[in-house]
Amino acid sequence: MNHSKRRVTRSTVVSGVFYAGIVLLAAVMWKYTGYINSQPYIIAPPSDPLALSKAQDAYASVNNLLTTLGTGLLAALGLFVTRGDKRRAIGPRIWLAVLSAVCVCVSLYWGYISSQNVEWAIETSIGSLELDMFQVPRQQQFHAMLLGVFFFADFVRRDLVQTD
Amino acid sequence: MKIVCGVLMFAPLLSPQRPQMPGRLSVTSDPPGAAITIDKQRMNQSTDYTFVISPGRHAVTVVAPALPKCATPLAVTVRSNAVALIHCAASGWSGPTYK
Repeated sequence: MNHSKRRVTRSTVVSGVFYAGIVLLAAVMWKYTGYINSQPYIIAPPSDPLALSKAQDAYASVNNLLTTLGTGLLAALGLFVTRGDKRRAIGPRIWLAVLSAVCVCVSLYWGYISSQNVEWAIETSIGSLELDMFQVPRQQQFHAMLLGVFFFADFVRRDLVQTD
Repeated sequence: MKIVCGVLMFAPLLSPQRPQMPGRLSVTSDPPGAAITIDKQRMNQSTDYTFVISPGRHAVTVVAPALPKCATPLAVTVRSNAVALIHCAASGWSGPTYK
């Protein structure tokens, strides 16, 4: 009875810490987005609008690619976590899957901010993509994705080792 | 879980995440062709020129032998979606005026 109660309490604490961490992460990203979007800038109108248009297309393509990879990775994670014998405990490896999912969600968030900022640049005829408000979200999107792939690969490797 | 759902539901009420609409700063001089510095940053362009710039306060100087009084920074407040016009002559700065 006591053992079961202790397990329930521990599970509640872990859940609470996890959600508190997620809320904190969301708040930090929200403030950071506000900070980079409010950085001062001075831009000369573009000398070659065609080159700028191509740069915006390339930017959008990479954004789309990373978003597609992110959603694919989430789907693959779901498959790996739920497949196979239900009695086979995932155990501590679940945290690798959780970390991977969080990183991919962070990547998707920055992808959303990237696309929003580029849409703003097109709308306001901003003549450069070299500003922090375009480069930082793009780098964050890529690096969070890379970290998500790393955790996913480690999760799958451990999963396969255990299956063998 | 409830907190996460609450935050997501009321997200539109939080501060907007889009950057503010930019303003424009038009720097002219008589005679033209003077070097422009904005916020201590030397621009590649010379007068007369119009920049796309973030809203807020900016310090502008114009440097040319014929325009010694414009080497003193002029504080210009740029507004979103507006053009701030400043002009430099031998007698000094005039403006800003807004369009």
